[in-house]
Amino acid sequence: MSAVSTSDDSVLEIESSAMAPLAAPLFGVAGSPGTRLLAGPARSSGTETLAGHDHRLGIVDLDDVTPQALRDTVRASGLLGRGGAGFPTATKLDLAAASPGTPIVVVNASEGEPASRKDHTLLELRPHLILDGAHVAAAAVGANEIVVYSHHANRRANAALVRALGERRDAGRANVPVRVINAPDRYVAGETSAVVSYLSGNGALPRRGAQPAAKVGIAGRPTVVNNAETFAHLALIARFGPAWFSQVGTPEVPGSTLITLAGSVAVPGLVVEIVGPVTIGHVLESMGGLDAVPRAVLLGGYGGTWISGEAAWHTPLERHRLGALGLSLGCGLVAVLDDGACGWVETARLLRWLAGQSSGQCGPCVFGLPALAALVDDIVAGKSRRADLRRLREHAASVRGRGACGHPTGAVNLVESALETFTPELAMHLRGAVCDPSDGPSPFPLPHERGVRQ
Amino acid sequence: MTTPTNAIRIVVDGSRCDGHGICALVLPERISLDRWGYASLDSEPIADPKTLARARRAVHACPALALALVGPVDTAVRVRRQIGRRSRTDNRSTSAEAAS
Repeated sequence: MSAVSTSDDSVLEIESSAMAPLAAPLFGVAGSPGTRLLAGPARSSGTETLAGHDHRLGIVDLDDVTPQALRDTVRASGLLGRGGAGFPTATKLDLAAASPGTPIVVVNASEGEPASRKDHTLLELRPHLILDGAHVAAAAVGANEIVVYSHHANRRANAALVRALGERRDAGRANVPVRVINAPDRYVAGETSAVVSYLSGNGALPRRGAQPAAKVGIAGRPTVVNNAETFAHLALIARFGPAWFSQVGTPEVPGSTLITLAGSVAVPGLVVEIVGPVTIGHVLESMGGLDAVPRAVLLGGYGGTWISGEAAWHTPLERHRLGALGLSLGCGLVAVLDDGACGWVETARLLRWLAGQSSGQCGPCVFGLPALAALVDDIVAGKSRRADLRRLREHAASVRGRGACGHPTGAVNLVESALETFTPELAMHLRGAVCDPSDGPSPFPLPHERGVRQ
Repeated sequence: MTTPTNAIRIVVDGSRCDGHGICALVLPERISLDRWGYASLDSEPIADPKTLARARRAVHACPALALALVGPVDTAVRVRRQIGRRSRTDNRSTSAEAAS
């Protein structure tokens, strides 16, 4: 696909000239024409300054618009949350506005998904877009406080955020105070109920929510928790309106979508904005530098779904259509496993890690995930037999849907999709073939070394 | 939280369940224990009054206060009365699930 012109100079030198150029760009990286969230300067230019941001997009005037009108605009845009669950943003705003107490707005930029980079990249390159969106949300619900929930390991994003807040203060644009709070090191710390619990002064543990956070959140106050990308969309919706917003995307999920390419791709961690209808193959070919169909793609996160490379290649990269196929775009992670790698080695490794990330509250997660991990370890070690496979399936089914959050179900997704995707490898392992997990580095990063995350 | 109106269901808070297992004795048609001893629920709406009565007993019997009936608001009120003095949080969560 040559639909993408990448002015992101140093990062990409991929071009495929075979195909005819398309009329409108369907996806792109920071600075690519036709992108929305990533429009503006290329990545190499670094963080966009407030002056540059204002010059490019103008200033959102929130003084002359009523909260109700703002919420109506968001409703008309059809914006769905971009953290993974796809909840209608307007519904959250309406609930927060209607609930007793002064609302608080939380920008969830913790991005605990280890290979995902979309929120951090956006925060690093376009902090003012996210902050504008947070102010739009605050105005729409009458909030008097904004919290940006980030993570200390994302130094470049945090530095950009602090600089951006300074710029806004100097420009006299700090109408609603913004606090920055870093998430603790835990996979589930970014789950909305865990965010609310942590910001209320407790542990970052998911709760089986009796009340939605938008109704009863931090210290009992209505709390609008949204993914950072969602706020960036709000900033553009407030400027250009719902009709403009829904010009791209689908009727079910309007607007553009950020995804992260990871694993065996040219630039792991590259964030791509999907603007038009494309397949996973399109994007991997032109952005991931892949010239052949890979063995498999892990979609949606580490608690996501494996699909074979052949299947992925022609699968639309669009949240709603993936959902119709029983797949989830989740946080937008598209992680590639190349042909030489064993899917079971990676599954075992990710599953072991997911098991260790349990917050330790629910029995099915505390006991179920290590049990699943042990069974998958046996497969990799060539010690598994048909009967063990039956146990694996039964264990997985008994864990699905249990617990106070989606974490155990995510681990089950990983295992069950591995069983469907890596069948030839499984057959070999069942005949006693052994894979050495220490055989070369894994393309899937785990945050042992979270300190070196950028 | 997508409870259809008028439908009463029994639900478990997995983070509270400690695997005492009493509920599975009281309401075996809806609750089984998984291989680790934790309650695994069939949360389809309960129509049969006798099953519903046993479901209430199961909710009351749970030492970890992990079970709740969710459905119309008056269910929550009834359950709360029967449960008697519990912490505010518990009442709140029961009625909230019912209301949602």
